[in-house]
Amino acid sequence: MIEPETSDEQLLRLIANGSEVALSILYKRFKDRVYSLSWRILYDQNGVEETVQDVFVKIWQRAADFSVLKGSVSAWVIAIAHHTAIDALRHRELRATVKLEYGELETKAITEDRSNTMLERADIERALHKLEVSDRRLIEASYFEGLTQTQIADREHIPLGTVKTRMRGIFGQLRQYLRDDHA
Amino acid sequence: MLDLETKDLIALYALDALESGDRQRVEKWLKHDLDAQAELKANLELTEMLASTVPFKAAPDNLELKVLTKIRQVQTVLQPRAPTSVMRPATRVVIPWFARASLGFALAASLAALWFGLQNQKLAVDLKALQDQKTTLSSIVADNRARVVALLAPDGKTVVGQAIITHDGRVLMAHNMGKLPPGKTWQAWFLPKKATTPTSIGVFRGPSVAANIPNEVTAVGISEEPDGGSEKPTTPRAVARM
Repeated sequence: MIEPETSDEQLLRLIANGSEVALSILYKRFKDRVYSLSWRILYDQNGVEETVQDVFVKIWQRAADFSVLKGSVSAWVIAIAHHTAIDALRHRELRATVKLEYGELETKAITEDRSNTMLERADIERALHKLEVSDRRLIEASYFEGLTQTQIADREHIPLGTVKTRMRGIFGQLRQYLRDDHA
Repeated sequence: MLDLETKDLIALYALDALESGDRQRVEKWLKHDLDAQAELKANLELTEMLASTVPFKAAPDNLELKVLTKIRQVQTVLQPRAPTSVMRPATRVVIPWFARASLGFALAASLAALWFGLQNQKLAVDLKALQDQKTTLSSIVADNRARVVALLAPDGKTVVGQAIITHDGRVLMAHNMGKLPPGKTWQAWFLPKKATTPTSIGVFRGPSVAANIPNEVTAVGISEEPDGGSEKPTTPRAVARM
């Protein structure tokens, strides 16, 4: 029997041992986050549902490879979801054209059990607002639109080397802003 | 200590923004370089937070079933990875007709699933899963130190199947309990030594299931559960005591 308070790490160990019940519990914990991210990238219900299925198949197959030394389960799951959705996007050669204005993020329909996520969300939104608009556009282009570094350089008319250094710089700034918020 | 170029590439790797050449370079570093792993870990925490800014959209209720169905397509016979290795007493294996029939059915189903897998262009994943299934089933049946234990119905008398347990902690349960009612699934369990509650092995639909189990179990069994399985057996249908 799997207790409701079983940790994500313990669930992954059970999944690695072939427990579909553990997978089902992990699915319930992450389904909406995986679905929302996939939707933001793909904007297509069939594609999103396929992506969510592929994400959990990958979790099923790779659960034994997970190590807490490499990060949290949630970061691992979201990274798999992002990679899978971006892969699907690139395969169908569709570029999402909807621009996300960080000042106009939807805040409705947030369920009660996402309070921790909402705190993180508020933090990251504040940090994103502090970025230069052009830097936000770079993050947007790579993380949500799935553009590669070369495609970003082409679209933004900036050298490839600049894309590389700016991305690292943006990450550094975000970390600093988040630290400031918590100081 | 990482140089700046390495940090640049790891940031782009976390964003899935690298082309294949650079991606492979980063993955090579990540295999052995602890600093590179730590840098990626920090970057993935940030990208996870980026993901948390997207508008909330609830997954449809029926998606879980699709997920589980897809997993079963990929791996219809469960293959847990936990290795076990305690020698058990040697026993001559006499495989009952319905166990052989189940094995034949499973292999035939594997071939059919392979054909459909090809049709669905899921070649690599399905083929690997099917090869693994075939290997597992063959190795269990071929293990001449395996022992066979009867699966008994809840009345404790009626034999409804057999469990074949290998010397290195794998089990093949084959039953003749017929078809499942709609919305139901079989779920396999084992009872660890000294434990009072069974542990789920996983759910399955066919007449047999193969899986790894711990070295020391006192029983294995099958229950009938709602689709997706249960956290504990609600309708026990068969049990084999060691």
